[in-house]
Amino acid sequence: MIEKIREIAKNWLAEGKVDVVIGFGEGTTPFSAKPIFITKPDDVEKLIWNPLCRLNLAGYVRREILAGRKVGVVAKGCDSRSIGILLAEKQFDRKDVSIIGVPCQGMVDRKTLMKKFGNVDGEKVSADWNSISVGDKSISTEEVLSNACRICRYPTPVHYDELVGEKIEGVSIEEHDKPAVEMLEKNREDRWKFYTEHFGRCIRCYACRQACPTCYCDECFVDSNDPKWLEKGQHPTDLMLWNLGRIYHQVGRCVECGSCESVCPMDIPFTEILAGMSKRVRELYDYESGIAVDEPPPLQTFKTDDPQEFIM
Amino acid sequence: MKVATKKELFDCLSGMKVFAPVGKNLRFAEVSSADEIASPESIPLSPKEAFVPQDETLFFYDNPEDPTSIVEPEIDEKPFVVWGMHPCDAKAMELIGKVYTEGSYTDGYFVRRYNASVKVVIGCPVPHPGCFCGSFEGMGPFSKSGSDIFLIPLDDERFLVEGTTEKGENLIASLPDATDEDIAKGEAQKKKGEDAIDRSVPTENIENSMQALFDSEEFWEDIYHRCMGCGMCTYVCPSCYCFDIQDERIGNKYRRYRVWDSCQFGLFTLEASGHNPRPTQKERIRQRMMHKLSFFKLRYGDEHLCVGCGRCVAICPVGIDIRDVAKRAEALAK
Ligand code: SF4
Ligand code: SF4
Ligand code: SF4
Ligand code: SF4
Ligand code: SF4
Repeated sequence: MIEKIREIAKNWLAEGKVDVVIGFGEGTTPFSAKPIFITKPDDVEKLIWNPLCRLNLAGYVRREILAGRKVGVVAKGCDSRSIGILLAEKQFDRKDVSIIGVPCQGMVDRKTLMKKFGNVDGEKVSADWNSISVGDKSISTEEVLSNACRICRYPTPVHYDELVGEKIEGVSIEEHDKPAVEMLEKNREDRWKFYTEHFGRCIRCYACRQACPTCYCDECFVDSNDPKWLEKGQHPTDLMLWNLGRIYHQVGRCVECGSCESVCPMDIPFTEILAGMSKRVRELYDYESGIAVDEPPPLQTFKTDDPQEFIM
Repeated sequence: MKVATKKELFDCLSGMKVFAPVGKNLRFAEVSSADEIASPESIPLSPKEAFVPQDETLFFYDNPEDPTSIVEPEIDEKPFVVWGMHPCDAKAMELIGKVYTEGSYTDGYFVRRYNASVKVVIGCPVPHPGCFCGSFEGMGPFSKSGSDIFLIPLDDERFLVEGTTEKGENLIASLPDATDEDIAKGEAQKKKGEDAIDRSVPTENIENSMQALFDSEEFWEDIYHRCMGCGMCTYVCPSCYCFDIQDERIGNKYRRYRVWDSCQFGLFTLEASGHNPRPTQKERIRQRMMHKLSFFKLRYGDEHLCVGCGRCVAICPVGIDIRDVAKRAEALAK
């Protein structure tokens, strides 16, 4: 699979179809893969493809296109959907990006992995689609899959120029909705407890925002100081407002890639909440983010014949 | 040299507030018993919040027009304990101390806390992936600098305990003396850590090598494209000390407070005119690397601001590795 990815990337760079290919390369710490930007055809050997290629690369795609480059990207299902949303939001044109789509078997959660194995300095580690091992200890990759990947509806890229590998079926709607239903079945108090407990740990590093391809406002509501929508400190109210605000701005836009959850240093679980949000959006508006590139997200449009019964 | 279990040592410190790594994310918070304290191994967040809280009230005031309405917050000046710092952290607090005390202004908030603290530092027989404190002159996984009480883990239960300042010595005076066997075991633990620590990161002349590369696109391009511009590396860093000052209205009173800030945020250098001297992640991540490995040493003399704790290396989701930056800089400078 990786050979094919490299070959396409090499050709595109050599032909001048793209200036840069964004993909993943080997990181410098155990169990890490890092986003890399390949500009020379001979460097495509640095590209890797394994269950550590966790982050969503669509944010980089936008950034590089706006910087004036012709971009190629190695995209999983979620990356492709985020590109779809960015297209629907007219951030760039489809012709600006060339996509090497790779059906994804699910990415692992590195933090869970590190907790499982503890200190792995100096030992030989390996990670493939079947197993993850450190020295002679080994666990199945399935065991440490990210929460988001467990309920992924579209592991096969939705938008691509070339597809590498066999298509993979996503989970059913029922399966996807399970964590959301569990969350929504909690009574108000328990849900509030969930929110206060988890958001109360937030250190406001904004990694969740920075990792999210659809958080791209020039000025985030949390940074604005005129008007100042919320305080910058550690009061629980502000932590709640920040987190709910960020999530609310993702309604109909979030593709549930799990990047925000995976980068959060405080292990704040977003999957249940975001899955519930996408369930609502699907049920109310018959819309799944990032699939149709010519349909704006539901909260960014209006219909003149909308009865708006909830207002009356 | 003394010996104690966690509980015995905790009892020596009774009567003082103890801050130690606790909870799901091992943040430094007040604990009421030894059982709550997490194992000293991995501390993703640094203990700096015990000295420089993320959110700290500077003063209250009733009337924005009237400076005489200012009321200082009550600051607890009673001694308190910070338990489970690593040698790198103790060093980092000394470095923050330099910034907050040298020159014309002394930061009373930090100084009062620092002076009131009893720093219980634990040596590291098993350094973490990413740690490289031993690459800095005079530092290492058993460096005692900046500690009051120094611990060497002997096994799952017991520590070798040494008072490294008078304050520390007095507190542990009642503990039993260590046997020769314990001391030998401690030496072995120390050797284990000293042998394992990464000393390969070039730091001696790195301030000049980095200076020479300040304008090099080739050098910085390897990292800045992928840097997301989050605040994690600076928030987990024990020696990052930057803050932002804000005013908040609470009822009909006001509070002026400071919060951690990060040079990785676009807002950090945004000027009122709208001009931003560090407009992209290129200038921002360069600032961080330069501050850690060059500017600080050039400004304050003999030490780097990075203490090699490895936290930013471990936490950066896009694999930006300060060790690698130093190695590349040194290689290019040759
Ligand atoms: S909110 Fe989180 S899960 Fe949704 S698109 Fe953004 S990073 Fe991905
Ligand atoms: S990544 Fe986590 S800790 Fe950081 S701002 Fe987001 S929710 Fe808060
Ligand atoms: S270096 Fe890593 S942790 Fe720091 S701002 Fe960049 S992406 Fe975030
Ligand atoms: S820069 Fe990184 S390695 Fe250096 S002290 Fe800060 S967190 Fe630790
Ligand atoms: S690295 Fe950045 S946040 Fe840290 S002390 Fe330096 S300027 Fe401040």
